Amino acid sequence: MRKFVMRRLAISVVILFFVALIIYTIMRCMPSSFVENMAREKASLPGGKSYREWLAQLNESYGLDKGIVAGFVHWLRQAVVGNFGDSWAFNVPVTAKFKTVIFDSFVLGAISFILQILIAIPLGIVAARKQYSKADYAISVFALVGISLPSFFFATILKYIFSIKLGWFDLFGMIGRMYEQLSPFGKFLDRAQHLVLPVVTLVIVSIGSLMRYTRTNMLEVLNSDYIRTARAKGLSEKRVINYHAFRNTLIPVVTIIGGSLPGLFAGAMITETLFQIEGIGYTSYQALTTGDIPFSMFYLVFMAILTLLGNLIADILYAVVDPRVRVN
Amino acid sequence: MTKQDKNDNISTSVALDDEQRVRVLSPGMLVTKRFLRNRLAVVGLAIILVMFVFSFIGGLLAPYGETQVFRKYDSIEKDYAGAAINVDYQYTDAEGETFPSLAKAQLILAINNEETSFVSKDVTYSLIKEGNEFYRVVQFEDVAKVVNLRGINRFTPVEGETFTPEIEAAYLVASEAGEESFDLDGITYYVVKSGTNTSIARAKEISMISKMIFNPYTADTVMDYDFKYAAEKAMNDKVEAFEVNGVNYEMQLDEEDNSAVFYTVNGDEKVEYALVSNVSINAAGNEFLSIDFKEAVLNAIDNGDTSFVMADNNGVDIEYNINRKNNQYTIRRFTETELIDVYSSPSKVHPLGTDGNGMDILTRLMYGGRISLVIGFVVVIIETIIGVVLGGLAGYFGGWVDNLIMRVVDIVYCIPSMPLYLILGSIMDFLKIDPKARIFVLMIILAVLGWPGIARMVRGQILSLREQDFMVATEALGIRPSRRIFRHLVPNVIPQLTVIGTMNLGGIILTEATLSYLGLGVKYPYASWGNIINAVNDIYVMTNYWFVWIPAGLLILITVLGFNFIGDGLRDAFDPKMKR
Repeated sequence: MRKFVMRRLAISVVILFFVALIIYTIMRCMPSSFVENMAREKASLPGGKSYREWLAQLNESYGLDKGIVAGFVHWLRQAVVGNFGDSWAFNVPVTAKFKTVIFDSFVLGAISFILQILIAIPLGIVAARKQYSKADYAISVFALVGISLPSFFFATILKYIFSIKLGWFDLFGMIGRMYEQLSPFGKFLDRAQHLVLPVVTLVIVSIGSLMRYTRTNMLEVLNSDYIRTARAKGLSEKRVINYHAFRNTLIPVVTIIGGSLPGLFAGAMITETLFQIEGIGYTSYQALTTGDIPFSMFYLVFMAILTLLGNLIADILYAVVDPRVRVN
Repeated sequence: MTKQDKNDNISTSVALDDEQRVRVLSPGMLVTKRFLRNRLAVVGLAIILVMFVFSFIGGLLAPYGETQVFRKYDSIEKDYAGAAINVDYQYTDAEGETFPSLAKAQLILAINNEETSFVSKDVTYSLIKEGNEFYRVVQFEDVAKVVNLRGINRFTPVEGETFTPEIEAAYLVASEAGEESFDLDGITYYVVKSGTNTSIARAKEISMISKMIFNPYTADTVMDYDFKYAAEKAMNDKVEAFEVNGVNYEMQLDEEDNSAVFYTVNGDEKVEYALVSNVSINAAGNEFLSIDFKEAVLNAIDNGDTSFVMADNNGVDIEYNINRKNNQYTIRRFTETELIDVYSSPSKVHPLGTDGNGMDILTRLMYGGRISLVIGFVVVIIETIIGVVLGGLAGYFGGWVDNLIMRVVDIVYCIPSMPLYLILGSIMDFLKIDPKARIFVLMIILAVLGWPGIARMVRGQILSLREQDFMVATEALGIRPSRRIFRHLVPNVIPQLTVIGTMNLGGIILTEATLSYLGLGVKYPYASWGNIINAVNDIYVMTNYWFVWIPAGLLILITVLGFNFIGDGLRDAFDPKMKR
């Protein structure tokens, strides 16, 4: 087991290296005038150095004066010791900005993730138990509609109905206008209220795959021999479903849930942007569109790590949860 | 039972393996049958067919073009004329003369200092005050110089001039009376004194200066200098009738308003000729403002009205509004104007209205559907080709080839796709790539990042398929590897490929729509469902013009849903094990 994990980790590091190299190459293709702007700004300060000097200094500090490979090595050497440089768009160290925004993303992701699990698994099981019933069709259609909904369109519809027509929620933002005057509990409620629409958007848009996954696996389990045996033994249907079938369905479901745990930190770029939730998604959207190389590099590498971590967790869990699987 | 009967029996009954008895269905037919039994899949198929008809045939049948801009006529309040109480001197130059603008500045100085002459560019002009704010600028041409020595005048004629004794006599009379000018034979001579020198001069008219504005009654009336001078003089002197160049004029003076109407008199006939006042009224456009209109404006300004009604040339009453700003009056009226028909509500002409560029939304939706569907199919085809080739090679050869290809798959799979699309979209923005080329680049980007899933699936399938007996047979037959992979292994993966491809189609359309919505995908002037919805970034559009964004969103939803229904149905149809 340990050998397996170690090997996977080693492969992951290699993959990560190449992913970072590819991303860095693409980022460097950006004819970004960001550094030039920054140099011009600094040069215009009183008593400062000239524009050229600033430009040279900034280019050097970001490794932009070197070729792509040398620049990448420069970036990598800094990144390995945790120094990702200063964000150009936000004027603070990348890691400092990351620390301030990750929590909101995590809260948003965690709430919608829990809601997803609570809704998707029971509905998936109901659908599988009554295959081809009206409930099954309804749940299937619901799941597929969720998968097919463009999140920006769904978010806009929610805003249109609940913010504009009904006036229940603000159009965007994380806190209300009177936030500072509220009591601590009031502040909590205010924040919670501003999270309702983003959470609904995220849950509806991403609930479909888990629901269908649960249904497919439940169907597989229900068709297996041990369920037939259990029924033949004369067990009550309740016990067959809740005890024998459900537990076996949980094996792949837990695996996939474990695998998506790192995703809680990934943020939801589109949804956060639409609702202007100051999470990692919205922040990186701003960084990406303004050509902020240090923050974008950090974010993309962070995302790649999350993906690799998710795969690793899923593989390990698969072996841990299901004793039939041998790690090899 | 007779033999005959027996034979009959045999002939009518069918053998067990007879085709008539057992309808043998080909695997393809079986799948089709199972697929068609699935209601959701059929619905999905219907949706996609309708979408194809809507986008491809609808675009052909649509009466409008993709980027046709519609215009409409609407009455909006526009400036019609401006009126101002004139505070500046107006210059009317005599025929054949020009009063240079440089001299005008000197003139104003001279008026303010109450001087009678001024010099500009070595030319000496004289200023003759004719009345209140009414001057004449002349240039004196000396006829003779007069030197007065102890009461005896000596006259020296200027070269080229004829100095007659009549002039001398008239001068003496005038100088005795202390007058500055005298008339002789219809010519006015002036006595010009400068220091001790006196000269008799004829005046050459240069310009007439006053604050009065002359408005003709008809568009083709041209008022000459002589008339204007005579008219102003008449106003000043309150002379009701005068004659200029053989034409008789009559004046009707309104002292209170400081305005006057002039008529030409021809026998008994009195025709309105001109209106003179100190209010200048100018049309905003090139049209001719009738005198009635001007009088109405003057009246309204006098009475302090903010609006008045007047009939136009066709006798239609039009309401004019007057806005005052200091001494400026703007006369506005509602005018029919051609406008771009933006955000017009759904109507018979535009079933879904028009968008912010005045283009028909329904037509844009059809063309947008084309682009979305074409992008979807092209991307799926490209990524399937890449995925099948690489996945097939990895699965068939195994070993280091497999290892290498699968690591590449891992790397591409690990690249966060959405952020990368955003970066590439911004790069294309920076490079200002042509919108058409952009669509192709977009397809390639989507395909290059989308193939790892397919490659993994193909590899997995082939790994298990290559151990089967028929592959041993192909090897024994000595078929070459490329043929073995692509003729014998890959066709066995087609069912899974179809399912994954159909599902991917929906996903790609969603991604494309999201990118276009963010303004980084398909760009104007090309339509795409995503960039049509982009209009909701303007909250005003989102609130007031539902018809701009809801149909496009629904089309995306329905199309992606259709592909997912089909993909789902296909999976069930190919894999009947899952069903029972």
